[in-house]
Amino acid sequence: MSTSTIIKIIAFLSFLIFIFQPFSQTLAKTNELIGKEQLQVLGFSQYESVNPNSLLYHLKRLGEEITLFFLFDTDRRKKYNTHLLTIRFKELIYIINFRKTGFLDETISRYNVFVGKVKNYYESKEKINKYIVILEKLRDMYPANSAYWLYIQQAIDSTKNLL
Amino acid sequence: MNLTIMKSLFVENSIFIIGIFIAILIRGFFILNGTDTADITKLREMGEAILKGDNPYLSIPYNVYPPLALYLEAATKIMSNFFNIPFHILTKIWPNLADIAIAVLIYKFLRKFEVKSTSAHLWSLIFILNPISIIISSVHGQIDSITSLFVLFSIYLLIFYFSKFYLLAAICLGLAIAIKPNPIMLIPLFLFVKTSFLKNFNLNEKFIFSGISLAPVLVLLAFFKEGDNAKILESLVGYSGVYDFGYAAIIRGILYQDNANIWIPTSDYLLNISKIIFLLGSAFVILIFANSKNLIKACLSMYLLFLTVYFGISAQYLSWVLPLAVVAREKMIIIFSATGLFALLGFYMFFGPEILLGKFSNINEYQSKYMSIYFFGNLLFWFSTSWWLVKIIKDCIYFKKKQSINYIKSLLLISFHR
Repeated sequence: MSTSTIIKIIAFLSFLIFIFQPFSQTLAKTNELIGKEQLQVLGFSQYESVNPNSLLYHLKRLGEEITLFFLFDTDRRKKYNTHLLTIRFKELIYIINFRKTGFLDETISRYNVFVGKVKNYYESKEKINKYIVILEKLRDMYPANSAYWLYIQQAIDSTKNLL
Repeated sequence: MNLTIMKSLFVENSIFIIGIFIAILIRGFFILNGTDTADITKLREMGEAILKGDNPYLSIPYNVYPPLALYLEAATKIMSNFFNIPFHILTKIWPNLADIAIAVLIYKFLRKFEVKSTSAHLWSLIFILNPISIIISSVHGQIDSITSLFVLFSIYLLIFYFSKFYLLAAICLGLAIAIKPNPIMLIPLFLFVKTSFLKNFNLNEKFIFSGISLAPVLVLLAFFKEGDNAKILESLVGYSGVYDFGYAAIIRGILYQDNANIWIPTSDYLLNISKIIFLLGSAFVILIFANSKNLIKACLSMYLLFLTVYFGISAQYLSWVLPLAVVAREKMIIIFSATGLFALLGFYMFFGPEILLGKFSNINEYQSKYMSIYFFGNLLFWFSTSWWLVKIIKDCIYFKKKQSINYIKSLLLISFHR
């Protein structure tokens, strides 16, 4: 196989990966439960570009794990895990707000895992309170005591452990 | 005999023997660690229905295989009870034996084409050690390689022993169709592509060949003729495949992102469209390869066309291509096998990890991380299959063009000399 063929294949694969970014976002055509402006008033900044429903999501997770692997300093690892918790929260809000309930269970499980990781050293109580307010607001958009309501309540309960 | 020649002969054959031995070890590992699940369960149920005296075409709710496959599974069930060997182990032995026979036949084929012995051995090993072949025969437990063996043997007879054995070739093709119906799509190629450098079918021989090819399945089906014949036919020929691979899998992956949906809402419509496209495409393939002398590439193109344009591709269909591609010594088989393996791994891990992992399975199905592997695997697989098909057809057209130009040149030379 010639060098030019290999370059063409790599360029093609890179093109594929990049076109799926906007593609997966445009698929989120279902109505939001709460508008982005209202979420921003509650303290939410912005969604992640790649979310758990995306086919590229696990590449993103793989990148995070590789980055974490190469952080040998304990303080830097703690800081990075704290940053990842913020990312997990944004992903969770995306999944709940756009009613991607097929991904809710695994997204909440993943979020809870990261809450558990940072539990012993997470310091920003103000941020956690904002998280709880946003989650409670979104929880109440689902029928009370439905399976999805209970899943989100689980996320709220585990977030409260950080206070 | 010269010692050096003896030594090299031993070395040549030992590579093949060692390769077969490694293949047996790998396949044996998967066979012994498999479980009675998915298609194995269906095969067992078909065999049990025969032994109970039921008509499986009426008693079983899902689509049923042609009659010879049913008798094979019934015989397997009898042997399983007699030898006290689990059915899911015994039923996988037949396709794996067929794979070994295909490997030996490939070697003979290539030696007839005057390929060097070492090279022929290596190509045979590319087949027997091919991960797609191993997965389909030893892991999934499908019996498509038995059909492929009969098809390949039929082609072998037509190419090298046309005058003596063309009826036997028809019977072999007929037996293949009586196990799995996919070789039916190759019949027009057998009739219109020149198989032998010395002779080809005349019109009578074409009729006889077609008739004998279809005879085994029709004769055996007669034993199941009772009551609702329409239902029997529907059970046998109504099966349109499951949209697990190819562009259907790509669509599935894209739609999955919406809300973890794994079913395509317009699948019936897409399936019907794909049938029409395939029929048109197959007419094109027959036209391209008619009167060419490349039956193997013609059959390979037909299967590649099917994998590229048909909507309902199941896992086992990937194995159809392998023996033909190896005999044709197509290097694209490497890319096809790599991308096919990627697609297969994603498929099994997402939809049925217990099929792939057997006794070691402790993974839940429908995990989204495996959907990514499934999607990208099928994307690469579909592009490689399409590229391969286009390449073969382009080469055939170019070759025909070159032949016509040479023919015209020779005519001009003759007329000039006159």
